[in-house]
Amino acid sequence: MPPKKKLRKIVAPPDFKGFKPYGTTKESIDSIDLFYEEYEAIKLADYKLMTHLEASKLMGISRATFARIYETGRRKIAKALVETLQIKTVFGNVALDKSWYLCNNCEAKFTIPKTINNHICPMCTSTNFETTTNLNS
Amino acid sequence: MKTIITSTGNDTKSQFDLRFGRAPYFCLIDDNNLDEIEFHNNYFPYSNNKAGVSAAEKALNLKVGKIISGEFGHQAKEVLDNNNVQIVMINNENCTVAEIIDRLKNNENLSKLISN
Repeated sequence: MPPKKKLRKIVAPPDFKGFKPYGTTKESIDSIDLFYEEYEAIKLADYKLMTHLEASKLMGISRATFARIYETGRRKIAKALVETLQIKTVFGNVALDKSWYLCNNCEAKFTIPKTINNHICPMCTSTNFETTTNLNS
Repeated sequence: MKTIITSTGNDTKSQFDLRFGRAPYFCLIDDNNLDEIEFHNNYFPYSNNKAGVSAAEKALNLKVGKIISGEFGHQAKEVLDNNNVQIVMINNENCTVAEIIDRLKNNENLSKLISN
């Protein structure tokens, strides 16, 4: 069994759900799933022009892993362009922010403000939830 | 405490809106009485910028303690965090506001069972 994937930290998820080609003669358009971490890797390396080492530190992963995520992200985008595919952004293996909690029961994500005393999931009242930063351990 | 569910229409049969700032309606429910449902217009779904922050301010005016939506921008999140509003993100696309209220009602019954 391969080791569990470490969660990649990202600053913010992309502002869109996906990209769709237009002006194509294709009747049906398949889609490709771009993970948030791949979007973040491309953003850091090609938009913010960081080196892979700087970017990997930001995302809390090793440089080699960053390079691999970046590579798969670029390949997916290239594939989408050449094969006229839709790009959909999906969650992937990421941790968004310290303050988020993820319920293991109903998959709701939520925050717990200081004023709330009983720590339960607001959607299903289960206590089976964890912070998104602790999911690695 | 009150809860907001973002909605695409002004009745409980309408679809849950995954966007917070640009949701056309806020469904306001009372946590103590889940049958008390009000709908409030969100005035900012078509404004070009600051839709999330304006919506967050409107939510604060309505004195809510919890907001259920699909996504929140980081500016809106900051405003809500600073005012101790609980943010809940669920990614059930195609579900109605009534279905979400039902989920909350189930919780109430559950917690009553536990306390008994």
